[in-house]
Amino acid sequence: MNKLCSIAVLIAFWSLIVFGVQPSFAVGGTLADQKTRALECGVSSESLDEVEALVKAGSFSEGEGVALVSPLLTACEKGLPVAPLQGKLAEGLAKQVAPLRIVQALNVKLEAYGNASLLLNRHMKSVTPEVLGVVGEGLSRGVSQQDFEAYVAEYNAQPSEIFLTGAEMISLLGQIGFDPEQTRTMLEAGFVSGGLTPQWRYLVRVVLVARQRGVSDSTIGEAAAAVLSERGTVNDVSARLGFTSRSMTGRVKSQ
Amino acid sequence: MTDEQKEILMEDAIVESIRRAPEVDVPEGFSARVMEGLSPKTPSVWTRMYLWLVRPQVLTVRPLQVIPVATLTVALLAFAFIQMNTAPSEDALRLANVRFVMYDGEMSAQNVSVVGSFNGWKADRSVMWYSVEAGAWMLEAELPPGDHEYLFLVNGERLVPDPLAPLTRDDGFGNRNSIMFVVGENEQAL
Repeated sequence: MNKLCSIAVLIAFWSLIVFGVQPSFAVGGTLADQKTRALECGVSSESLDEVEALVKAGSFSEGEGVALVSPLLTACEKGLPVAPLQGKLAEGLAKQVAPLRIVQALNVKLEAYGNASLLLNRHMKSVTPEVLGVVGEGLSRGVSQQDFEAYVAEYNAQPSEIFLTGAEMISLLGQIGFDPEQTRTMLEAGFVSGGLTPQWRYLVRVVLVARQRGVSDSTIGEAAAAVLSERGTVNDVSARLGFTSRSMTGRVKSQ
Repeated sequence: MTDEQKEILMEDAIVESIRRAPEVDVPEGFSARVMEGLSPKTPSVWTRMYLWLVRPQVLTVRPLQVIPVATLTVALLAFAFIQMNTAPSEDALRLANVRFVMYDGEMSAQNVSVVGSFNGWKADRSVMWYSVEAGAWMLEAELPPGDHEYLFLVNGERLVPDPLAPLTRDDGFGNRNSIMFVVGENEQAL
């Protein structure tokens, strides 16, 4: 028994040294503690350092600093993507947004990614970071969870790249309020014909231009579904709607 | 007679009777039955592990066997090293040329930068230059495919959306960001 205990203690001690295992009670509420935990979890230091510098400079209180770092830490510890939250934090700091407003925006993203993870894991055996990112961003930008749920439930067995393209279409078209029924019709046509290639994720550009020209969503959707059935390209949708696929902002192209 | 003397006499009697007893052969299979009745002492897992760790181990190898294994190991390590140092990421391969343009015919701004999701919203990373011919502030950059949020930062203090952007999006802070779609090798090419 003594030998077993000794070995157990030895292993625990060794793990502590080699893997840096931290006792669970080493959790604190200060910004320094939060930062340490966030760094250990894998959060990159840039945003953390920026928050810490602002607290030290007196721009933010310690509590505000903790509140800003907390969503990042929570996302990391839950295994959710941290980069989108870091990007939003950096954006808020650069725009000199009030800390509480930034925290609200971060929590919206955190909740959206949590919901996206639950939604995807309900229907898929393995969830890629790309799909999680698309669905998470879509939800955080107001796309209907029901639209994603219906899509994932029906098409989760599709090859990953095509599945991702479809998810991006739902996200981008959903963000501009495109009729979800039209989107579903297009995707159905694309999956049946096998014509849904990655370039279709930017059909949203055609939709925006077509709307400016007074074309209805149903007309756009029908044209896109017909082109997809024929395994055509996004350019073919533009042509079918009566305009070319030149640079749609009228900018001078770089090449 | 004391008890001790009685024990000695008894022992002597037993020894004498054994000496006088006739010699008989051991029954056949006696030794095997005895050995079967004994259970071997099995050391614990920890003890065996400890003994395995502390006992010297003799490793016998033939050079003809080691040379191919060692060669293969070195080759695999070299291959992994080369892969780690030379394989560019997929995103790096797919960077697209994009151009940001902010028209300012009278050059009313003193300096303009592009801040966005692709540069961490840092103005010093994407400073625009003024084209007298075009009457516009310009910046060329390489971005990965995707939808990128951005704004123009004028004179280091005023954030301005791009009027040419195909789409704007709520930034979550009460304002809107311009969106640039990057597809393939050119911005917004479809």
